[in-house]
Amino acid sequence: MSDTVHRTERWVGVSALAFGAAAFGAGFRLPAAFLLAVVGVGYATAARAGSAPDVEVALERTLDEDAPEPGDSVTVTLEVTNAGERTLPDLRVVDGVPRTLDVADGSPRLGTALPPGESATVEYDIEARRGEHAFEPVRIAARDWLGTTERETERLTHTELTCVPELEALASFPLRSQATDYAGRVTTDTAGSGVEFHSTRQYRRGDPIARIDWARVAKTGDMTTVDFREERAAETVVVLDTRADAHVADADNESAIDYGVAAGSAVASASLDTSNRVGLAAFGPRWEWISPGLGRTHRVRLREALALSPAMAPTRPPEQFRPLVAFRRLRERLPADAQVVFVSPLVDSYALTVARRLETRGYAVTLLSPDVTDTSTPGRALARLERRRRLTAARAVNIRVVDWDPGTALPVALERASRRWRQ
Amino acid sequence: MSDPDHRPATLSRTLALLAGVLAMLAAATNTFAVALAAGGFAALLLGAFKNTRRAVDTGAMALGGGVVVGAGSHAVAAIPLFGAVATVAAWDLAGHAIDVGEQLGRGADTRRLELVHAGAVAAVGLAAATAGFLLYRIAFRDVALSTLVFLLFASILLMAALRE
Amino acid sequence: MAVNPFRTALAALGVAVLALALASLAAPSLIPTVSEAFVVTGLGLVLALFGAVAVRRRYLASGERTAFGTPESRRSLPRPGTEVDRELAANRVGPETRVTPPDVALIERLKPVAVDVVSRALNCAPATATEKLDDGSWTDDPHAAAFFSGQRAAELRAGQDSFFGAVFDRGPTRADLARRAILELSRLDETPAAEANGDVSGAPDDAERASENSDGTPDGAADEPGTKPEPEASEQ
Repeated sequence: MSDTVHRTERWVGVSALAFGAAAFGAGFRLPAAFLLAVVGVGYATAARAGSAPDVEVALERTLDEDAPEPGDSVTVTLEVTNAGERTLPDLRVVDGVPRTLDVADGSPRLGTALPPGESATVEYDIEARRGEHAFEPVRIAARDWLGTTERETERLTHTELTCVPELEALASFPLRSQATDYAGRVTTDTAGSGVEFHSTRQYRRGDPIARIDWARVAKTGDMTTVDFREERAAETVVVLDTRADAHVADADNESAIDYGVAAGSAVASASLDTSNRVGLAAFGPRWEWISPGLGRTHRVRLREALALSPAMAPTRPPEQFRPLVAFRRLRERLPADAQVVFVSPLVDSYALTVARRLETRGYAVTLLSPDVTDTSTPGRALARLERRRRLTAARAVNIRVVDWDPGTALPVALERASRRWRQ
Repeated sequence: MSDPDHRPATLSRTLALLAGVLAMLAAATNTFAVALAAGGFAALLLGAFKNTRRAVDTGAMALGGGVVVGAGSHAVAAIPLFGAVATVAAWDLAGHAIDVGEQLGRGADTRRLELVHAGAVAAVGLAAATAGFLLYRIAFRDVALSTLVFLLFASILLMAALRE
Repeated sequence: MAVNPFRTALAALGVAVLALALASLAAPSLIPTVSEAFVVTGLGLVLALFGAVAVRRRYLASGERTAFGTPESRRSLPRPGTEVDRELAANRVGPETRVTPPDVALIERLKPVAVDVVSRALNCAPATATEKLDDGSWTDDPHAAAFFSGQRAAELRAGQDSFFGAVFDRGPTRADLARRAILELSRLDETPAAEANGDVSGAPDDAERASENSDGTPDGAADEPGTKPEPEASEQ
């Protein structure tokens, strides 16, 4: 790697002492004053003799927690050892904390002096967050004894903090075509077994006894079978908006993507808990798709995708996004009668377009939008007003809208939204 | 986490101010010297607390000036010599405190770094002061004018060559 | 350290003269005496000059150090609406009579939002809201009103009475007017009337059609293969 050598120029001017003392001593014939020049000369010579040391260090980093939950405090310990043969008299080390994590306690910086073979430790706590976070290179600055020159260098490391949160539990997520109170089942327009009346027809051999209309038999003697509206397990797909436009943050620097993933996890968890098949898709430059499913294995798949998939990464994707291609790809995968929970901060108009297009193509869309806007500057206030307009526009085409202020718990926001839907 | 505290490192700063006081004492032979040194110390103090290198530089210069001026009036040559060392130490340690504060901050563990640096600065100063003292004892009895001239000439040339 | 031959020569000469000086201490008779005392003073002045040069170098020297950045905090993400703030800050258009293209874009972006907010807050039809915006009667704030009504900013100058006011206060810029308009609209949006009328607003298609993609292409495009390929390039 490329080192940089800096001239600190810290000792520039010390000769002024030497010259000044000599001048004073000469001018006023004071030998004692003249003597002080020796001190200046001594320091100037020593400063000149310095040169930036070679940095030969061994680094070892350990984390005290292998599988933290979000919010957990993880202690990072970096041991720096002088692997060279010369003393490093002025060694400054700054650990490469992942750019997506905060330091919660302590300092990732250290200043020390190391004779050959000795070590020093940097210890601090970081706060775990969803995802896979790679540590950055350790940055080192080494100076000579008096600090005249400084060598700046980096050392790569290969440590990662991986955090895969549990799917958040939400009491239940109201599915759109639900007309009954039966959790987990959705009534359709197909005739079959169910609860709601659909039609009657002539009795056929083999029809279930329970569905014979006995009242009619008693009255007229005809054998008829009642068909009910068939109930099938609902299929839901959580579609997360992961385009670059959606990578915006609120006043606490929390990303809309993180909120979105949290909401998506909650929906997925609630669906699975009520035996509804649920899948996952990422709508953005990076593709992710999990077909709707059920069961423990499926739950694990969803959980890991939401935490670790590159599509859900908290950093802005550099790849190019092709809206038409992405939309087509999504449509190809979406089951015909699935309902879509589209999670997006709705800070740009294309998000609304996507929601509306899905709705017009027959998918029952619920728009779940975390609100990361505020009114702290005119630009942000405008963004907030525009977002509100988009929400209204979505409601106007019968998309169910959940306007979620992350300051309140999601169940509360859902409850408020549900009330509106029933009106 | 909120941004780290980048104020000057406390250990070096304390040592710098201590050295500054010693320099002031070394300059306390005549009023002018003391006044100059005290003014310098005040500027150094300001710079060390307000994170200003300029103030530290100016203060150290005035402090050094006071020591030099006061040197003439000293009976014992050792005191102004160590006063000069104390001045340079005060200047360098204050600057070091500012540097460390900027790069590493107060939250970081920098004790070892600061102690070793202070030791190095003191060691160099001690060596130079001792050399000066020996020179004084050996040579400075009756100095012929021409000797002084040659000494001066030599020092000019050497120091011009030694620009750091 | 650069090895400068001049410096080496200087140093060698200095060492030689130093040797002479030390020799003269040992055996004073060997060295010719210097005539005048003021030569010494002269040398003293030369030394003082060197000292001054050294001081000057000290003040000019800044030196470099490694910049470590701030690893303690995670990188900050952009806030929604940042590009608008940037545009407003860059838009230093003064109180001219002509409305420039950036102005037009701004008005076009703000108008539909304003119509929506005003119609909800004042409980009127969108057409009425548009009228109110055009004639400025939607608000008491003259600056906010002027943004849509096109009233000349020069007429809004505050200190027209005093001489200095007339000279120095050139009136609000278009950006200032835009900011006031947005703030006023925000305020209106928070009023109970606007909240109550939440879902009643006309022309919801505007919300989509009027806005554009980040790369400037309008995205009401039909979902057909072969239409203009609109790579929505991510920013930065």
